[in-house]
Amino acid sequence: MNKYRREVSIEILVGLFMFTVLITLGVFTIVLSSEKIWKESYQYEFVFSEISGLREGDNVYVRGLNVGRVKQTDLEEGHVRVYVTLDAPLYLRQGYIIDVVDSSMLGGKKLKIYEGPDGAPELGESMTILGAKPVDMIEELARVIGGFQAVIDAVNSGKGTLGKLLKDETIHKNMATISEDLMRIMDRIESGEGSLGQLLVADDGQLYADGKIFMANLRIISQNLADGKGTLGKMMFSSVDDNSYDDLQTTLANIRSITQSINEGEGTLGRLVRDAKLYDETTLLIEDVRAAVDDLREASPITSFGSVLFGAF
Amino acid sequence: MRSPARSTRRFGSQVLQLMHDTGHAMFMLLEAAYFMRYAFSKRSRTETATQMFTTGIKSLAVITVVALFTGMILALQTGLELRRYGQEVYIGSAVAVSMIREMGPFMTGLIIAASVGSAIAAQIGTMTVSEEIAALEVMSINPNRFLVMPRLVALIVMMPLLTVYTNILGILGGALVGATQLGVSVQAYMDNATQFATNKDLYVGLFKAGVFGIVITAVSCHQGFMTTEGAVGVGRATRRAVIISFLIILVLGYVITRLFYI
Repeated sequence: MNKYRREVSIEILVGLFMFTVLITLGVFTIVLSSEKIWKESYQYEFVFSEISGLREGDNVYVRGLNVGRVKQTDLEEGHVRVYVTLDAPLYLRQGYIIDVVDSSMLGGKKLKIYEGPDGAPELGESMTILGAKPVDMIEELARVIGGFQAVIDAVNSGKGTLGKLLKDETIHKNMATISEDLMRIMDRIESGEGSLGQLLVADDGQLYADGKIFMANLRIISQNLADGKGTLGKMMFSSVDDNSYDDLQTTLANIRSITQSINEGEGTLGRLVRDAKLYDETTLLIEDVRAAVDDLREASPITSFGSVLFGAF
Repeated sequence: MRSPARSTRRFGSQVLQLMHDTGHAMFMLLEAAYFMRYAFSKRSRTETATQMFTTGIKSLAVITVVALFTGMILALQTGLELRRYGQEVYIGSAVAVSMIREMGPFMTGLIIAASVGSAIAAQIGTMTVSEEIAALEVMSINPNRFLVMPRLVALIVMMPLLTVYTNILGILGGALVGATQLGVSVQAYMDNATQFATNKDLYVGLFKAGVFGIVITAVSCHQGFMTTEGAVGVGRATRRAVIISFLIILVLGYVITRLFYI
């Protein structure tokens, strides 16, 4: 009995193991085939002139979203027909683009679908959907390198500005002359010739010393200003209750009042400025005073001599 | 010092022995394959189930550890290199494709050859030196049907199943390392793993595992039947069964990959 039960339990265990692993294998197969059994799928056909290595199982993207996979690729007369399975219906409009592009820098391809501009009329269901000719990155790279090669050839043959710069003997000579001139100027500066040379070489540090003193003076002045020393300092930094600002304002008002009176011809100064007659008389007066002073200056030695002479007696 | 004639004779003898061994193993295998229709008959069912239990269930523990750590090592080594280029998310595909195509069947083959193959060689070898095989023949019991066929069925069935188990554990081990050591989320890892591996990879791997099962059975049973010289001979047969199985698994692994992928 025990032997029988043992045999049965072994068979049950083996059966259970096989059953479990076979179910796992089924699930594994479904996962690897990327089939969505319980979800509705939509089949589409695209026609390409070439597909640049697009394979079954490659992803299909619409607006950057992975919506399905390439199911099959068939080579037909003059073109390649690509069958795709999508998770969502595709509404293509006029101006749509279907591209085979690289899926990563490491390689691989994917199908990129642009449905067309908003508002454009939708395509009919019976229409053949055409894919764009894929861009071969290696071909593009070869074309770019070819372009560079053409530029290098043109430069080598002396064409264009760059070519002439590299190949034209005149430009080279001009450059050499400029270089020589610059060298000569540098030599003169080094030997202390000219203003710049004297400033840089023959100064013996005097310029630096003067500059240092100037800066020190500036610092002292700014420090005094900051400390509120002197008139300017007081004006700038004195407190409100120091009345300097009010005094200055009053003074300016007085000056304005005086200048206004002068302009209106009021007072002696105003009349002096405004009255032409008074101006003439003043001029005459000044001339008389000047003549009197001259007479006095001429009479002064005689007066001095008389004083000394009569002072002795 | 051996004379050239003696060396040549010895070499020729070894070649003939090799041919004889291969021929014997092939006939044994073909006869066992012929008797496979009786695998689940009343007489053989218990033995077949026992062999399947020994091969499958009893190997699970060691396969679990080996598969898990194989996946973890693959993920870590690949991930560290891919991290230099900021592409560590691709460890999913690297681990899944490596495990499904090659490492799964290969690791399972090595473990089964070392554990089950050696046990088969030792058991049949002991029966041979104690003349139990001769007794079976005297009783008109075909040793190939009685001993080889249940083991062949067990290994052919269990090797692919154990390989599926190894694949899954290896991929999970990689996911564990990706999530904890390399900052690759389990979702991203799994998406990447399923994106690059294909059903062809899976079933070619399972086919390999089945072939490895046949090789292990043939080599181990043959070495068991060829055992001589008592207990020492049993040890020698066991060692040779494991070594020859390893070598054939390696060579066949390459040949099958070459056959299906190039």
